[in-house]
Amino acid sequence: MVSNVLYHCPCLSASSVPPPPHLESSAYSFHPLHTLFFCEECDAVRCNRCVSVEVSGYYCPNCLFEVPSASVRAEKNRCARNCFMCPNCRNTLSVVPSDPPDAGDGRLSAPISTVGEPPFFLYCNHCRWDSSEVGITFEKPTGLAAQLQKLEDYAPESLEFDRLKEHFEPILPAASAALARDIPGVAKYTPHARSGRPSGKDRSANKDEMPEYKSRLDINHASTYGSGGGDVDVELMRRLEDVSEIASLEQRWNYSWSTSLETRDLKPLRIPLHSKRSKRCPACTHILIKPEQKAQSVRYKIKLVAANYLPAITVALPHQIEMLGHISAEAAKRSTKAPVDDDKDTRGGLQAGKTYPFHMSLTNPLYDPIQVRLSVQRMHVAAAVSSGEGGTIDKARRPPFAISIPTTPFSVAPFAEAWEYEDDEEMFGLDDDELEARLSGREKEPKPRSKTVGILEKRANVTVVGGEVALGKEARGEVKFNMLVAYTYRSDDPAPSEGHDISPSKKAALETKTFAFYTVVDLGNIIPKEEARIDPYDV
Amino acid sequence: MEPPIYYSRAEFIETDTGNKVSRRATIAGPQNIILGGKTIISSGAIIRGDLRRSGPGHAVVISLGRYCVVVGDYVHIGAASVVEAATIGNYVEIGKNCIIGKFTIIKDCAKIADNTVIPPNTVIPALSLFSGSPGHFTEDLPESTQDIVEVQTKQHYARFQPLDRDLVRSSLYYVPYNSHLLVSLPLPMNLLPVNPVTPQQCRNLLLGAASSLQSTL
Ligand SMILES: [Zn+2]
Ligand SMILES: [Zn+2]
Ligand SMILES: [Zn+2]
Ligand SMILES: [Zn+2]
Repeated sequence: MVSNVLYHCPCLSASSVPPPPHLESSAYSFHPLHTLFFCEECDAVRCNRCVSVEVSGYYCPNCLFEVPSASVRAEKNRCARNCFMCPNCRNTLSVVPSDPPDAGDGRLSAPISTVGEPPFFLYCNHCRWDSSEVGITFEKPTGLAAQLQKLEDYAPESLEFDRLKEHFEPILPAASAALARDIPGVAKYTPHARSGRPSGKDRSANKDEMPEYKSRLDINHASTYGSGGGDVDVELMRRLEDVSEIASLEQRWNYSWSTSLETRDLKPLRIPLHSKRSKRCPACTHILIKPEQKAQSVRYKIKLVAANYLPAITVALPHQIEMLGHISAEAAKRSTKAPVDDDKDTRGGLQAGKTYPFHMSLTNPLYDPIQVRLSVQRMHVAAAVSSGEGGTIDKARRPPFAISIPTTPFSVAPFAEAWEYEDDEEMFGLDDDELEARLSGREKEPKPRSKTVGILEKRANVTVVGGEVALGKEARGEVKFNMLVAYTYRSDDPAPSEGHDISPSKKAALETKTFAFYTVVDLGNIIPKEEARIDPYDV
Repeated sequence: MEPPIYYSRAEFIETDTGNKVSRRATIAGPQNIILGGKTIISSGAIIRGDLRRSGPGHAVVISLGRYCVVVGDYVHIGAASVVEAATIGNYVEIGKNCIIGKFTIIKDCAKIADNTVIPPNTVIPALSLFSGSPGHFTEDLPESTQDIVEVQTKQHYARFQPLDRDLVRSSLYYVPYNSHLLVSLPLPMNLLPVNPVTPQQCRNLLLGAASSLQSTL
């Protein structure tokens, strides 16, 4: 659907008031509910932009092998087994024997790895790149990374990297200690035992006093290797017949500048490792997300997500729902496949100058009832209008619509395991009259609703409230507004002495707590009046 | 608050366990297919249970879990996608117009964006989004993916409801080929040769599938 509700994360900002929806910064402060976390300690929403992240495990995304963190650095964060990426299209490469199985019987034959004649090579079954083109073949189909080790160790980029590392070695411990102090979760750097660099060098070396770094290969002579823009490259370009003979920047990204420009010189790449991550609250460092150790498990030891604390809010425009249901019914009648997602944006759009009802449904995730109070955030446009010459432009910026929503508090019933969707099939039904009308093709005028703004429906742990948006005659752009949601719930927080000696009066006095958060409600785009009237050119 | 998706009662066979199977879907080798309940198989879908290792004996080659729109539980496969994956985990979402190559392994809670081409032998790790051609890892999915997919697939099932009146049509033999759902068995080699399917065979398959589905589920 076009309409949606996003939730605000203040990201440790001093002000908890979000930016107005027409500002660019709005998009960075609001997130879908299911991507947010909740810190019980701080009683606050956290998002992926503000949580601190720690790696809890590494694995290869292709062979799914869990790589011990001790060997990750030595293996340069890439899979050290049999997993390679196509240098041309980034697909995963297969190991094939030099005598591929005959495909002459009309059947597709998948590459078979463990059988066949040596030498073996790597083959891309998407773009058909094959490693024998660049002179890489293997004696046996296993331990390929080890067989390629030498080639990789002496590649210009790894030699250059080793040289850089050596150059910065003296200041690494101090820099890493500072980083570990400032950013929780960053491990301190411990130099390799096998590092040949004597540690007798002055550790207190100021970084300003670092000697100048001299690269292994002089950039001025890079053209001799085929990428410095010199005569060699000019000659290459001159003879070029197809653009794809030159490797794209993305394809060369992992190499040094001393590598050839040509696509045919690209080497297979070991597949970069993926990681599983824990997430912590940035304020109190409590763990919010802790995945299970096993790489492919989708379970979590700790998972504090906002969806388990805040009510889920969805918004819909009844006239759009009505229209989509109608399209689907028509399709079922004609027994054609309904155009499920197409044309959603154009049909049932919002027209300037009209008033539309909208429904917001709030779902309570808590085992206790909640009292909810909604309010629309006032947009501060008055100041902008009076600000001198830019007045006219700013005036046009004024929200061209008015929103009415129920402002009195209402309740949402608690969540209970028994509320499952299977018992809820009525919720989408048409009543018999409507169905009859639809099938016979004579559509009735929709019954006028007795009320638009207010509480419309309560079922299970869901309350549906109605609102209304009145669009100005000259309105254009998005219909988007910030809404503050405050909800009150029973808190069982202050439970000092458990069990014994609780006076009955204490039990009676239920503690309540209120939590408030901002959302941005997006009802979709306005079709401006002029455009709506003018027919497209294809009359 | 999504709109309902209506279907005609005449087109769909409903089983006691809530499976809804379109008469206009092609189901080959129904004796090798188990539906887990509350599974929707839409019009034009082709499900191949007849691709099995040669040799005697019966083996279930496709098992569709609960709340599938056509392989694990809570799996949604979009329209016009061709799926020949070896295994598909739970809570997997495959978009529209995708091609999932042979022997692909899709782990739990993975998602494949619309119009993605996954080459054969690809491994798609848990909780990752793949897109493009060839399909690449694009991003990690949120920690609550499992919960979202469960709710969405259940909602989809609830939205999928009959228009009350039966509507009789004459175009019974027509099997549209624009939308294929093809689930191959998790056995890498020695597949029986695939025979071309004629409209006549399609009809026989449909009738056979209908009766056997109704009796076995
Ligand atoms: Zn944040
Ligand atoms: Zn690997
Ligand atoms: Zn390739
Ligand atoms: Zn905290």
